[in-house]
Amino acid sequence: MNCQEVMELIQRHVDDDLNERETSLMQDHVGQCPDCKALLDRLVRLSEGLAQLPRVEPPYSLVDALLPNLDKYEAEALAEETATMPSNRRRAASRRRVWIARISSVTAVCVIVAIFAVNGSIFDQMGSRSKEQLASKQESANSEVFFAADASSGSAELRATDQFGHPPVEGSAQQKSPDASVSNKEGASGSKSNQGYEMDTGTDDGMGMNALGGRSAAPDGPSVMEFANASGEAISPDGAWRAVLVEGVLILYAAEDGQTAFRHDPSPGTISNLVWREDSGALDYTYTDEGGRSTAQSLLVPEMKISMR
Amino acid sequence: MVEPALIKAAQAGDRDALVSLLREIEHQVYRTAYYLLNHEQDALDAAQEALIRVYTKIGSYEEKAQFRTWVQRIVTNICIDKFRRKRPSVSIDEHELVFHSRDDVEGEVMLAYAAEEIREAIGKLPDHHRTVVVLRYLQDFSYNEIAESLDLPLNTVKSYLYRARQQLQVLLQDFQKGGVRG
Repeated sequence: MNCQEVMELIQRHVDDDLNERETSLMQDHVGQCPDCKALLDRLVRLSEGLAQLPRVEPPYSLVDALLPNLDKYEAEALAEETATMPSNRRRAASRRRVWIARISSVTAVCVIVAIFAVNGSIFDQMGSRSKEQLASKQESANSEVFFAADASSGSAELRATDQFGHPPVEGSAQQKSPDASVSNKEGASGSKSNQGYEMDTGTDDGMGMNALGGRSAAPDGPSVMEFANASGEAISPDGAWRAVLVEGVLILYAAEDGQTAFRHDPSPGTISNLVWREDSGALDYTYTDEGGRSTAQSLLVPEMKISMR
Repeated sequence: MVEPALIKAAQAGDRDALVSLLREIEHQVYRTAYYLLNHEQDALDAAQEALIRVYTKIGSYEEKAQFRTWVQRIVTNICIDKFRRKRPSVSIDEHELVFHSRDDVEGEVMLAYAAEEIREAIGKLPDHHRTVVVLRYLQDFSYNEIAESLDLPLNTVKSYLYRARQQLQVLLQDFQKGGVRG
């Protein structure tokens, strides 16, 4: 055994990690090698000293000091966690939320399609039916957003309402314009349209139309439509692209097939103010870095490149 | 050892249980912070932050890991991340130490190392070596518990520990000779 090998044995010996054979090997070497003997002594002594280090305690109770503020810390922690979520978790979270947003936008489109598919005479019936359904729904979440189908002079209009039929409070979802929804229709048809939302169309007793509940799949999340719309969404003038902002991450979808065409996570900075150019050649937006400084940037389409303005 | 029932109650939303839980871990959290940071005020701040994080993230604790390794992971992460930025680490060569000089004791029976000297020496170690030593000796963690806590392979834990002890004993030899060798 050379000294190098014995050094490892000595270290393991200090942790009681040697079997009998290894221990006697070590003892044999150490008996003949003063340097290793000295090292063994020092390491044993060190280990004892380490084991005897004082078990310090705080000079006052930390929990008592924290107690008055625990609720505040919880709120702060939640806010911080959302802002600083690592990009892969945020990606998964935003992917999930965007997926939900797409489902609900698809469902919104189904409603419009259903409305257009039905005769005008049924609108009144449908209108009052959905209000009944609204009234009977017992939703516990106070940020639920519903869409009440309103028939007025033959044109179908979706109105965002909360569960009591009132318009949503500030900050929650704004209704997409019918034009935008129509351009989605092309992309939506044929894709996931049966995720737990049942649509009865063409039944004789009228439209089994459900008032849409904008419910997020994640129990802790706010209303889904809030994410899709309040975070920021913009359709290009030529209808080819749908740009979505989810928690500061910009995602571009091809309107035709709903495929993700581009994704930009500017963290720790954020993106806001999405504005399409008239020729649909670029999406202008504001980039704010973590220090709060804003610059104007653009996403060039279809090159999918970011440029400064 | 924290009662699993207490943890479950805390996770289920029992606020009193959660506060009791925090009281049970308060000392172990502070102790690690103190030896990692070598500074009482920093340790108090870090320990409080760790307790808050345990409080707010109790839902994310999964039974497959030991509770105390989970708690120690939180406090060691806070200490390594946050305070390394605040206090630049002092390299071994630059730090000026004042110790009682001892006679060169070659050949004589060596005195035990003073706790104060050991604590200072630990503070000189690189972050990961220091953390392994603190978990091993101040928290009595096994190699496996250290590996679980720091999310490191077992062999890495051992090699950090051996390296740390080797460095410590060299440092302490120097201290005992009355100063840091350049």
